[in-house]
Amino acid sequence: MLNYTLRRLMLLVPLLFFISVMIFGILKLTPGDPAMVLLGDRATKEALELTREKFALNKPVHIQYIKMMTHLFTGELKSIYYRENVIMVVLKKMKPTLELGGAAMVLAVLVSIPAGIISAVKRNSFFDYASMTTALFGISIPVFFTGILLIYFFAVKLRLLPASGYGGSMFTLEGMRHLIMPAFVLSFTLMASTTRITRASMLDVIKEDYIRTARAKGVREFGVIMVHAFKNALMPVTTNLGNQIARLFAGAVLTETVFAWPGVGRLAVNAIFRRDEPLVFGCVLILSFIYVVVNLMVDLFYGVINPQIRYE
Amino acid sequence: MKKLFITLLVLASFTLGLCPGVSAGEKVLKIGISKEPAKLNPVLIPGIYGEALAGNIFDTLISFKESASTPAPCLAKSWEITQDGKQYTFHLRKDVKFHNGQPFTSADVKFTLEAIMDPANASPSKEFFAPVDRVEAVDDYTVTLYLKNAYAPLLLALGSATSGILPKEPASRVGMDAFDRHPVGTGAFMFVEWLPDERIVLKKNPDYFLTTPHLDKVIFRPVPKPEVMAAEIESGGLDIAHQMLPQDISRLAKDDRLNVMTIPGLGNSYIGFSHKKMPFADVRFRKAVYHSVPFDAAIKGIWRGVGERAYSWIPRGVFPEDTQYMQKAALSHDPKQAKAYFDELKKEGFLKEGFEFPIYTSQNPYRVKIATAVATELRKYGLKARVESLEWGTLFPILKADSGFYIMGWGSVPDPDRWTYKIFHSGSSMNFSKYELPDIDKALDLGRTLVGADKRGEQYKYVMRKALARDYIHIPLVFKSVTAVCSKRVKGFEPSAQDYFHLVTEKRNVTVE
Repeated sequence: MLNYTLRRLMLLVPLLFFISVMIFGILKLTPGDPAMVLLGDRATKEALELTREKFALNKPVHIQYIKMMTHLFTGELKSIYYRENVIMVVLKKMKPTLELGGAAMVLAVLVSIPAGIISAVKRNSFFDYASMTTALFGISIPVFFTGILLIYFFAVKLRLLPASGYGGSMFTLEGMRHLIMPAFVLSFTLMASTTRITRASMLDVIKEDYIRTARAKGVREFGVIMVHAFKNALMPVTTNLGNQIARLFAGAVLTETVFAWPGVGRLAVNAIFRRDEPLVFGCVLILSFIYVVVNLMVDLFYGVINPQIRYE
Repeated sequence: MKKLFITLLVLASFTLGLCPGVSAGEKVLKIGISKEPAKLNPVLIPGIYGEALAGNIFDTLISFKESASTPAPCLAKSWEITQDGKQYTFHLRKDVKFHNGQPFTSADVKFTLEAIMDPANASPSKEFFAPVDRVEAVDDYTVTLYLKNAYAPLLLALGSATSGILPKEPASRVGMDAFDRHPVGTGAFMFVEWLPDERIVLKKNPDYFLTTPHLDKVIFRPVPKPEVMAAEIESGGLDIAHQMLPQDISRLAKDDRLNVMTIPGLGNSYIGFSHKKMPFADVRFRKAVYHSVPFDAAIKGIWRGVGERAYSWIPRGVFPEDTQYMQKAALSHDPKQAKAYFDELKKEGFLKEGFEFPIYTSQNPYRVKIATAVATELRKYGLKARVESLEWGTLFPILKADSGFYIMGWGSVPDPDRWTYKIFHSGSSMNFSKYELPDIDKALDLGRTLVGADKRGEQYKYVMRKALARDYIHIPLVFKSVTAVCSKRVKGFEPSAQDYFHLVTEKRNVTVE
């Protein structure tokens, strides 16, 4: 398992290199001049030239790429907008995003897995139809619509929760109040897909012979479902949750914009609009790294769920 | 039932929580801003979002905060201008201190103005000081500016938020970029913290030379979605909100906990045509477009009471007033005349049947709607226009490279030079129409250098009449009103025509109850 982990980590190097080339290429193909965006419409030609020189924007593309990579590794890559080290800027914004993503994930798991199990066990019941319909809504309704709807209801009408913003750490009262709505909105799509996958996976397993055998042996129904069926149905659910991490970051971009949440998603979007090339570069690379590492962790988790799996 | 009660109890206890960074008993004003400023250092501020806030941290030599046309004393208690308009002498106040405790002197003024003019700082305001030859600190409290030539808009430049005075120390030591993130000024409020995309916090300057501010703290919160901004002010999350959608404004106007204040604004929207690219370069095409769209009705429907129809680039009531003439010269909705012009162009081969072209515009929702209305009307004449709504970073280079047909806007301080020079002068980066005519350039240059309002006024009237009432290079659409929605607990606040937040001036001291 150690060898497998190390090998997967080694694979990160070419993968991240490939991603870095891709991002840089896309950045350079995107229309717009970072110096113009930074200095605004009043800037003189002289000021624009000076800014391009300062951030090496007037150098040949390959030199710009090498400079960006070198600076990233030496910790000297600075955001054009924030004038701060890119890694530090991203890390500062990581806390709100992790809080939001983590809370959304926990919420999604707590709601969707039991809902999926019950839907499978009570197939074609009212609960099954209700949860599947809700899941369909969850997948179909865009984040900004759910967000605005919740804001209108809980902030404007009931005045129970703040409409937007970050209230500090999630472990404080104010932090928690600010977190509830965005976390729920973000978890909604995740809940939908996880409920559907849990249900489908459980339905496959429930039909297996060993479930019938367990029942024949007199195991209680709860034990049959949770020990014999659910454990075996967990593999696709785990894979789905692992893949959803990427969707979580993508969803966070919209959720953070609607709820004025100061996280990495909003940072990345603003950096694109501001043509802050070093920051976009840093953001995407760091998020890619997280995504790859989470996927590795999911792969390793398979071994915990099913000891038959061997890593070679 | 018991569970429901507990849940409600928990939620109710949540609602008692306070905003982050706020202590009980403090007078805190929470202002929603639609976009976070890029910079707070006046030398580096590139646009209105920074200007809107910076006036609370920094002071200028003279002030236009209360009267947009008449300068009032601020850091300078008086000033003299020589008859030839080439020498400006300012006598400074002696009772002013920076937030770090240092006394304010002429050395700081000299340092700030030289920093703006220094090419190394790439200051976006540099061009406003181009005619300044040198700045001399005559003594600790007297500064003289020597100009290469007379330059009428200088006072306006000195009164703009982008000319806020920096302390030589620490600005010269830490550099302009570092100073931007930790600004120190002489203003009514001191900088506390800037958490990007989250909030900018200022606190009261108890030693402010004008008066002691009533507010203890001011929190500026970026809220990018206008619908959420409306929800925030409605739910009590903000005390002042601005830049909202008309449908939200009309709903909020009915809320008796809120004050909705609307004043005429200084930001316009207009349709621009290329002066170089055919068929846009043919005046008949431009007149045909003008005749083809019922602009009065379209503007009324789209801006829904938050904008006044524009006929010129210079707003009504701003020097030199010429609205009557420009309104008469505006073209009316006349589909027959429009068709006649289009037919003529088609006959002469300048315009093909089914001509396809993009209408470039920003993502401003009003401009996207008017662009769609124009495109729809033009279809009736066999022109296939499509709306390209782009974000600024992508749009700006397209406009600079001559886009043909575009819908844009401009906001400025109330001096005709700022309204016209950047847009109509051949050497300007904002002359998106490539409208490059020697007589227009000459009039604009004279407008800058002539001394005396009458002579200057004639030049700007000439430019407007020629560009908009003869060449129809632009179709002015609207001057958007400025609407601020305030909680009734806010006292003394008034929106400014430029959408700036002036909280403490010689006439007002905003507070909350």
